[in-house]
Amino acid sequence: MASVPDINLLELITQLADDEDIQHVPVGREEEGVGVCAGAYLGGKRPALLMQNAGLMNSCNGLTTTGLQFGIPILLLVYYAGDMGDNAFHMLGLVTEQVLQGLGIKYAVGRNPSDVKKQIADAMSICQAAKRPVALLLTRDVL
Amino acid sequence: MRTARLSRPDALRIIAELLPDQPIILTLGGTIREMFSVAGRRPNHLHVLDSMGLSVPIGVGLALGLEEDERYTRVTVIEGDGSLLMGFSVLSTIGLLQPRKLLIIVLDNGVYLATGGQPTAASTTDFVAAARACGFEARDVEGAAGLRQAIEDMMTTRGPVLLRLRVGIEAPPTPYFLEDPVVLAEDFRRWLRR
Repeated sequence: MASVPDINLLELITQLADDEDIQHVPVGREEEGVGVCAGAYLGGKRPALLMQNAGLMNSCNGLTTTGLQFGIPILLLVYYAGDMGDNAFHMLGLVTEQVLQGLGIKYAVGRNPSDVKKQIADAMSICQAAKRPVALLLTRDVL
Repeated sequence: MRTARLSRPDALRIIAELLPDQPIILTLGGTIREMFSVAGRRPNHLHVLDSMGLSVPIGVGLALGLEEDERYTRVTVIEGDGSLLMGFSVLSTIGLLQPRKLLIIVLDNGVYLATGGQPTAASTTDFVAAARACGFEARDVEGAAGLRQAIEDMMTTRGPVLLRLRVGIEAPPTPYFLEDPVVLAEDFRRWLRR
C-alpha cells in the first residue's frame, strides 16, 4: 500500500507501518503512488493507495493514462475531506465525487464504521474483477 | 576533441541487446517508437504510452513487487530528462525505499523533443548529484562503450542506481505506436509471471 499522509489517516498509517502482511510504501506525491501501484500489480501484488482527496486531484493524469488506460486494479482509499460535517477543504469536498464520475472511476462512500470493513472488501473485489482503479471515500466518521 | 553524443536509437539498441530477459520500462514519446524500430516488440518491454513522469514510479513498484523473484535481477527504466523532471519527487522515494533491483537510465537530450524541442531544465540540473543527494548511487556515462560497460557493471552491483547519458536530438521518423494499452500491459504482466 502506497500512501501520502493526512492527519485523519494518522492512526491508519501507523497501523499500516506495523502490519507485516502489508508492504507500506510512503511516496512523495500521490501520482507517484499510482505509478508504484501499477508496477506492483504488474509484479504480482494487489496494490492500494491511501491518500486525501487533494491527492486524488494530484493523481488524475496517472489514474487516466496508467490506471484506466492499462487496466490496472488499484484500490483507492481516500479520506473525504470537505464532506458534509467536515469543515476543512470544503472546495475539495464539493468536487471530489464529480471528478471520480468524470474519470469513470467507480466509488462508494464509507460513512458508517460498522459497514466499512465490508465496503473495503467489496471495493477490492470489484477492482480486481474489473481490472480498474476503484475508490472508497472514507469520511471522518469511519476514520 | 569531444566525442559525438550517442543518438537515442543507438543507445536503445545497446540497452535492448544487453538486457534481453530482464524487464525494461520505456518512457513515453520517441523512446517507445525508436525502441520499437530498433528492437521490435519485445515481451520484456513495458511501453508507458502517455504517463509523463510515471515511468520511474512504475519501475519502483515493479522492483519492489519482484523483490523476491530470483529470475529478475534488474528492473530497468529508460527515462527522459523532461519526464524525470516532471516526477522528480520519486528520487527521494527511491532514496528512502532503496529498491535494490532498480536501474534508471536517463537518456538526457536536454529538450522536450516530442513537443518541438523546447529546452528542459536539464542543462542546469545535475541529475547525478540529485540522485546522490537523495541517498542512492548515480553516475554519468558517455558514448556506446561507456553505456555498455555501465550496464554490465550493474549486473553485479546492488541498486538502486541512476545512470545519466547525454544523447543527441536527432529524431528519426518512426511510425506511431497504436497497440491496445490493456494488451500491452497484460502481455508484460504475463511475461513476468510466466
